Amino acid sequence: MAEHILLGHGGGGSLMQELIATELAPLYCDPVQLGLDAAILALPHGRLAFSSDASVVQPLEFAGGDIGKLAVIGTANDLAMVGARPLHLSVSLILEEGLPLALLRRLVRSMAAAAIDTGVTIVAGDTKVVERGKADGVFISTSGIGLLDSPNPITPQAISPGDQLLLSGDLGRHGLAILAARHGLDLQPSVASDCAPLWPQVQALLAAGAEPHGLRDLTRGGLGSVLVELAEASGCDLVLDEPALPLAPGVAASCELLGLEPLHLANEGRFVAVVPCDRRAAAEAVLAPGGGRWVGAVQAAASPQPQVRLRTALGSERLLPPFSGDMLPRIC
Amino acid sequence: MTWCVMTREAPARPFMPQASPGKAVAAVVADLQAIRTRRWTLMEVCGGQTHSIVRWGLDQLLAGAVELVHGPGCPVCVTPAHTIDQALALAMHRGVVLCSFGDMLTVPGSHRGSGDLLQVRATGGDVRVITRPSQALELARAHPERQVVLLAVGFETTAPAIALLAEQVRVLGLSNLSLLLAQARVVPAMAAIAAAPERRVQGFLAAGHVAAVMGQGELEQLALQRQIPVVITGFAPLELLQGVLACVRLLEAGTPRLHNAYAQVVRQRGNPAAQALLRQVFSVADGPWRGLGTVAAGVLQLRPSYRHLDARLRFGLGAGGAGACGEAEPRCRADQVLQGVLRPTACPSFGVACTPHHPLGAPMVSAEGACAAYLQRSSRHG
Amino acid sequence: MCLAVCGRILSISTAAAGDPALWRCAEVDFDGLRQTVSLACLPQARIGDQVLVHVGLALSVVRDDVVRDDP
Repeated sequence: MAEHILLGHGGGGSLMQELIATELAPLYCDPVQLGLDAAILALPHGRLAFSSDASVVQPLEFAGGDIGKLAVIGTANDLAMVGARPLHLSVSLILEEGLPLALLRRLVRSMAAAAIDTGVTIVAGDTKVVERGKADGVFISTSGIGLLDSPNPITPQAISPGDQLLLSGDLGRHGLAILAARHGLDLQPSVASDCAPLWPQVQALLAAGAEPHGLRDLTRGGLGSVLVELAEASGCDLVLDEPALPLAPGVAASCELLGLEPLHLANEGRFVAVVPCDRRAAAEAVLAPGGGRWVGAVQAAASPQPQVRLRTALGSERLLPPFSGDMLPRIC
Repeated sequence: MTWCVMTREAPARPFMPQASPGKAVAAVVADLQAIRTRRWTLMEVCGGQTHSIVRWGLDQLLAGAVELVHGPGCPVCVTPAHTIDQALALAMHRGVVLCSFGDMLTVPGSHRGSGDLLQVRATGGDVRVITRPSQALELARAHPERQVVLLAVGFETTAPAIALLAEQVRVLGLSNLSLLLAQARVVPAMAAIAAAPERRVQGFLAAGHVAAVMGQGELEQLALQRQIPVVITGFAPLELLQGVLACVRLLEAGTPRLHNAYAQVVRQRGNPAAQALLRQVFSVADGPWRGLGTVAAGVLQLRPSYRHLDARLRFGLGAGGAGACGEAEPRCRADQVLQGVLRPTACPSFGVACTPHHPLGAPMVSAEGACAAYLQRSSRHG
Repeated sequence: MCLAVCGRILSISTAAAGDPALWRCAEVDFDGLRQTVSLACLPQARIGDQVLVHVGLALSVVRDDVVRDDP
């Protein structure tokens, strides 16, 4: 077999069949699925959650993960955020002509391992190949189904003044690992992405009776962007206790040197939980072993536009700086 | 791990305690309240100081005692609009790689709808974000077939690094790297503000990092000639507040002179090697600041032996005169804001037609421009 | 206008050819992030010094022993 992806591998003919049988089969725990146009599933009773995602990260491989691991865990985590146990995933691959097969094999191994870690099965998928220059190596699209475990809806509308904000772990590892890989930053010790399944912590929160009013995983745009969305969706102000925010080692120094805002760095294995005031202790007990902690509270909006405010170590307050989506390092 | 970047480096220094930052800061504010007999108006000149003030809410802690007016020391804000237009034109040029610090990527040009460097990148221009000038040198050496242009903005803190790059390019004999220069000098702008008839500013908080390069001489002269206290400060919140306290002491005593409150970094002479490099590469000239007009002795220009590195000459762009700082956006009142005579909140467009995502002028673009800084104030503290 | 950060010099090197002062560089540690920094403007800097760095150029040696004096 060739050592690189060819256009023919996406052509529907024998090359493609060979690719699927040889390289992609490890993704599927049931080889019968490979021969079907659609997966046939027997789903447990109850409400289902459904989510979709696309992964376009560069570089494809980085400390602590790769695009495949991100794709599988990312969709599973989206399901966990509405209180659903992730069950099944579909994986669509868009491969660039010229992608080394050795790299594809590593990504497939990684996705298969992530699926096992997350407790999902990959049941459907698709493969396409585009010309050299049209896909940055690999793009991965995933969709997933989960079974709702939470009795109460976990939607931002449930968030109310008096609720408490908790983080499941420290901030910035994934964003910093990507920055380091892209810009050749020499970090001692090196920082690895925090990409990890979130369902175990969510399940523990639900089992402990934390009754979360909101759960959001932090991904692109970091904690800052999630809180802005939650404030707008809930109509409440969110007030963070800045000294309580746990930054991963190296994040503070790197952000200062590069002139970046730590609260906008991406994470891939962290979430924020909004719980009623009387459930704060229960939630803290669940999240503390993973480095999680209380970081703030929900208040009634002080102005027509709900805000995210930070209370500094000096007792003053500031608003979260706006984030358009582009992390631009500054020298000033 | 708690987040408290009070002092910016691991070892504690004698007058910056790591523990109980709130207490140390409260003590300085208490001292200030004890000695002042009235409310004073101070201007911090450097965008880095503005950033720190907003980020730590220092003006909230000083409310009632001191009003802090944000000065024009933000290169993003004062780089002439014409220079941005030239950068946009160069970036669209095939064969050119335009290198810029990230701060400049969303600054609008002089014409409405001219876009910014980020938009030019989206439509195919080769725009590279760099964090140090040496990256432009590496690019030029790696790509001899391309013309690399560095949009070289900044004040005297950045000027030595630009001068070093110019000298390295000259020594290496590289013919594919040039500079689109917009280097400004801080003290002449301070002098212009101090000389303005409608001046509200009673004391200056001078930029510690500019002083680390240039030393104290020019600032001493400014304090004496304009009879206005000037205090050199650092950028950590405690350093800034200690600087404010020192300035108020000078004001209460009626002694308008220079005081160095950042002695751990700033020496009387500054950095002689950096100054020698600046003199070798640059000469001082009158030049435009966006929003302020022509500032006497306010800009740096390349000396004759480095003029072949001037991107304007290399690409036939034209120098742009005093009129080059004119704006096509009539609603923007950046000139009054940058001189400290108009509070951004008093501008009718503030936060409405003019926001960081859709700025009418430069002070709303930069994280430390006066207008963007005001927008980050919590609404409860106005 | 001047985002500058302090770091500690771990090692110093010069280019093999050309003016050593122009190309003198240091490996500097910024709380775990290591970068190459030019020492062209700090000929007196030594290993172990804390230096203030802006856009890859060291501008000043930070002195721990300075006592603050008030006006």
